[in-house]
Amino acid sequence: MSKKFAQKTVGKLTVWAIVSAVILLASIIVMIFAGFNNHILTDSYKTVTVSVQMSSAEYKTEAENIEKICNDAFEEAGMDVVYVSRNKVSTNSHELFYIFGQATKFGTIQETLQSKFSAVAEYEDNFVKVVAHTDSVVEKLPDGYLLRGVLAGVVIAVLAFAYVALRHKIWNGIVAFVATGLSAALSCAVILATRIPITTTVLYAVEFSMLLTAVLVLFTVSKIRKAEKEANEPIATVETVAENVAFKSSLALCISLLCVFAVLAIVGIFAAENFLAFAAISIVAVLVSAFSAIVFAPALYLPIRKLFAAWAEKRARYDYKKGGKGGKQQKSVKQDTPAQTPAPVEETAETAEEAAEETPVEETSEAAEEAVEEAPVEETAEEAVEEAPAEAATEEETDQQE
Amino acid sequence: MGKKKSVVLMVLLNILIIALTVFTVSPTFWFPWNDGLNGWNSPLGEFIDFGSDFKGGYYTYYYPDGVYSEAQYQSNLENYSDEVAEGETQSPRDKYAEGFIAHKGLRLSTDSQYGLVKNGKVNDDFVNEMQRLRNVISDRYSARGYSSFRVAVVDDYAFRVELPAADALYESTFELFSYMGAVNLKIGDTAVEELEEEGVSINDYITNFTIGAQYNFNYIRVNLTQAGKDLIGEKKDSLSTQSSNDTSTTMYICVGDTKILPVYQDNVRSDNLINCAYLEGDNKAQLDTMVVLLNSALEHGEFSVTFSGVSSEIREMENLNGENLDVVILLVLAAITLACIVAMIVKYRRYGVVAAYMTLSYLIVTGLCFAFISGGIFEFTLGSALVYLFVLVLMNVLHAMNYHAIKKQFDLGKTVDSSVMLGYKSTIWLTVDIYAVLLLGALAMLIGAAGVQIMALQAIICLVAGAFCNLLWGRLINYIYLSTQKNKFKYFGFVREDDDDE
Repeated sequence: MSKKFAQKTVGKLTVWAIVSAVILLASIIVMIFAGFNNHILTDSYKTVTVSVQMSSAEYKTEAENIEKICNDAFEEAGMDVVYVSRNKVSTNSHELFYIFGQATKFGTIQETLQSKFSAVAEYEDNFVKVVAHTDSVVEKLPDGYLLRGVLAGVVIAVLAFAYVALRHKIWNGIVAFVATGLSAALSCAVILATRIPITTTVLYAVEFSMLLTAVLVLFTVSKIRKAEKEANEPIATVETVAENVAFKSSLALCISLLCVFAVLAIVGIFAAENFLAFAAISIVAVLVSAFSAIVFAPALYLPIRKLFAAWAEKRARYDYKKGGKGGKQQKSVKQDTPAQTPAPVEETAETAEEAAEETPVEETSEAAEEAVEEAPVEETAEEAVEEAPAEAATEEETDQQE
Repeated sequence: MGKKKSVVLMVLLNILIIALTVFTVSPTFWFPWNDGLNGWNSPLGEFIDFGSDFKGGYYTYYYPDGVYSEAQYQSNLENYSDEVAEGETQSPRDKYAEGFIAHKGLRLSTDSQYGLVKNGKVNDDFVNEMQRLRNVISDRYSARGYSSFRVAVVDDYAFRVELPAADALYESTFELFSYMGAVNLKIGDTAVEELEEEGVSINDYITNFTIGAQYNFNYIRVNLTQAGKDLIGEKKDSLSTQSSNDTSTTMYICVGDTKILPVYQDNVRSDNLINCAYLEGDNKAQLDTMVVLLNSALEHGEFSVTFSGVSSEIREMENLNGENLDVVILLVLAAITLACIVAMIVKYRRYGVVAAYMTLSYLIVTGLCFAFISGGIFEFTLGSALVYLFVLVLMNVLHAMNYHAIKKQFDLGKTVDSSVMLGYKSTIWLTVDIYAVLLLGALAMLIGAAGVQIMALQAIICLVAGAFCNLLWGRLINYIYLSTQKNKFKYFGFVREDDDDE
């Protein structure tokens, strides 16, 4: 099943590139028209502060009633409380801190709530004051947070390229570089497009997706390299690449991580809103990494490998021993006509054979075809050698006739 | 390895791992026979600094002098009598109320000494000053490097600042960052003459402030220009020593009217540079805050607006996302760790038991590192939980891959021992590659700021622990455990029709 899936995905780089581009474009459009969906706690909001001067023991018994008065008043005014924080200012001073969305209209809530408290006899001697504020966020990110985060991402991709290229050849390094970069971009794009509330934790998930993609790419790259060494030829066809995509191990890792984050999401539903948001972001990161490494990377690998195989093949044609027999002469042979230098042609044929023997193991099957193509050259050279004396004889006869 | 030796080693291993696991994950409890005076502090619960993702934090208001919150104004108002005295046209309360204009949830004093109000409207100079203050205060908190914080303008003319619970020095930070004014030097209470001359700026003498380290101490280094060195060279002999501590001859580095750092004769080096405010390594956070303040004051200079009474406005804030989230996250991580152990044992039987040992070892190493390598670096955030879980799952998946590699060799007809050797051999370089790439990635993440940098440091710990478990520890345990087994086929759950060999 994994092979069938891989056969459908490998060789369709254009399709996956278009899909990625569409996702990126969609996120840009959403961002332009709807802006960032900042989490309310990192954005500007409106607040109502209820300050209560009461001993801690007394406050413990009255807290519920005080909150009920506040909630009833907010409900009457049509104001949705997003968060409420029960803060302690000092031993005899407490505070209820209500947070509302930026678009909330206060109206006369301050006066209404104040009068409700003033009307309660028990709170007459207690200082219960209600104040409504507008809270406009100025700064919420550490110095250089975004810039350094992006820089770290770039360095991750470069290091992934460098290591994979050194260990598993440069074409695999290129695949690792592009896949990790794509996973970072797509993670950001999907998070923006799906309007998941943005906090500083988004950067954690983006960096994580890059690391996960690097791991998943390594699974496939390692398998392909092993297959290449066993087959003694490049893995550069849809069939062979599809056969060697490390589907099972990649899926095992991704599914395990998805299960873990699903647990976090379930806990988040009941206990902590930020767990739910973070789990959602992490699930996006895993899915994007799976796409980048299991679908996109093998599709990208194929044309890149073919390109490098073609370059290797081209280099192999000129691959000769420096200063060796027929070495320089081979170049000159290519420039001269075969009839004028019969002896070097024979040696050229031999040199071509030597060159064919000396070419690296990775020589493609096309090189074998090339050897076949060279055979006619040999024959041609031999025929030329046979023809040369014939032509020479013909010329002599012509001269004699004259 | 002989069977007896293997059994002894396995028993010792069991004792060690169980003991360390209990030590790492046990909750805090008190001994009942000691009336709660003595007990056990859980490393994970007590020593880990939880970030604002799990614990609340603190916040305060910065009200410029002359600006009051409506609540404070009403409170002050009630202290005045509303009875009109004889010969007076207004009650004291009305007189007090006349001295303020209302602006949203604030009251601004019309007293000219504050310069807030002009002709019944908010003074433009004050509005411009507020814009400058906005940039300065946000830059200070931004430069401090908290994993999460928030600076907001409240009703246009006040500030509200939030800090995470992990900052134990929050009071000092709130107070220090509220100081507005230029950096200046005083000897005792008298300003240094040279700085009072016209056209002279403190920047002509001081370049910047940095943190230095010596042995187990950190200190603030005052980087001086040549003119600054000459000035200090002239003054140093007349300065008080730290032992005599004569305040009238001590030099102070001030921000506005507030003395921030004392400079004694002992603090002046032979090259006339100043190293002062030596504090032990654990207190580096306080020096970091001072340096940010001093550099900010050096850069921005004088302000006409000052803040006071910041400490009285500090509130402790609960986590808005939920209650006891520090306990919840520890329980979630424990549950997932246990689920990994159970899943591996169910799937791979006795070979899965090796995974259980590896997982527990990973838990012990990472848990103790997170708990005891503190110093304000290792705040536990959602990123920390992410890297812990990622490496935990990766470690178990790689262990499972080892199993399948061994099985593949076994299916080719090799003996169990050969299969183990060849199976491990076939996966070792992939495992090395994966951990190498991840470590490089984690090192690259150190470039990030605040939470990303913290996550990188924790990722390095998790990855080193994971690599150790996968490449060495797990294989060693497998070797020892396998040596204790009578039936090696059963250990791996292998079945071979023709088993003439064993």
